[in-house]
Amino acid sequence: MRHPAQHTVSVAGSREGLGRVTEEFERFSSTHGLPDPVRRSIQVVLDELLSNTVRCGGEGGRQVRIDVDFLLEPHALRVEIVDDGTPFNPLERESPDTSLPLEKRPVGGLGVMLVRHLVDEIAWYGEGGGNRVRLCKRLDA
Amino acid sequence: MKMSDDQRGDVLIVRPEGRIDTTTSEELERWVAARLDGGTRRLVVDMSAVDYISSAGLRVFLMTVKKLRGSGGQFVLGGLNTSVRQIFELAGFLSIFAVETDVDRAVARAAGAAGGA
Repeated sequence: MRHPAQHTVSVAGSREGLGRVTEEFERFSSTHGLPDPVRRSIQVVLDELLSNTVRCGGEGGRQVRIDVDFLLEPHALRVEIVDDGTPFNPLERESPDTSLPLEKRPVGGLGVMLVRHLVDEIAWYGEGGGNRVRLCKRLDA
Repeated sequence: MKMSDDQRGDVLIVRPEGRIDTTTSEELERWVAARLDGGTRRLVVDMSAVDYISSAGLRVFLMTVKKLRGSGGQFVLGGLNTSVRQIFELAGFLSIFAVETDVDRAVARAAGAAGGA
């Protein structure tokens, strides 16, 4: 593994944009030999956070811009996601009750709970009409 | 996303390959729904070629198990890798889904008369 390695992807807040982030992170992981559990966890986290932004990101149907920055350090991967959508802290969303029986399970609402469990650190900053999410995943986790 | 079917007796095995996320989950949903509409009541999903799954994919499985359980069917998952299994565990899905280590066990469980979906 080579350190440090950095890569930025800028996409439109659309399904196609989300697909491009997935592909580029897949390439970044392969180039730098990221462990599978780390690569998969971050792919899930990106899917949860970015699909949320694509779904509800811009007011009045305006398409947002999303920049995703990957920074690989010797012992951790840092990811920063910046968008110009409506400020919204996804981490404030209440986690669903995962002990409910099948018939009472809501379909959805699990995404943010997964994100919290799959990363070691995560923080949200609302700023100047947009959002910034910073997260960190240890490589040995 | 690549998908294939394999019929073993009255158990249908669906085998998705790659990632199950926001981009691919609708395809999986349509694939499974078409088979349920076609009369499949014993369904196994072979997860051994699935790299990872996000909540968009969990949603498809949750709807599938609800449908099958409602009609007295069987739904069993087999061959989950450690990352996929971790997601199921975090979501509390291991307590509501029938999950087996490999597809042969999953088929045997789905073919058996006892137990729920």
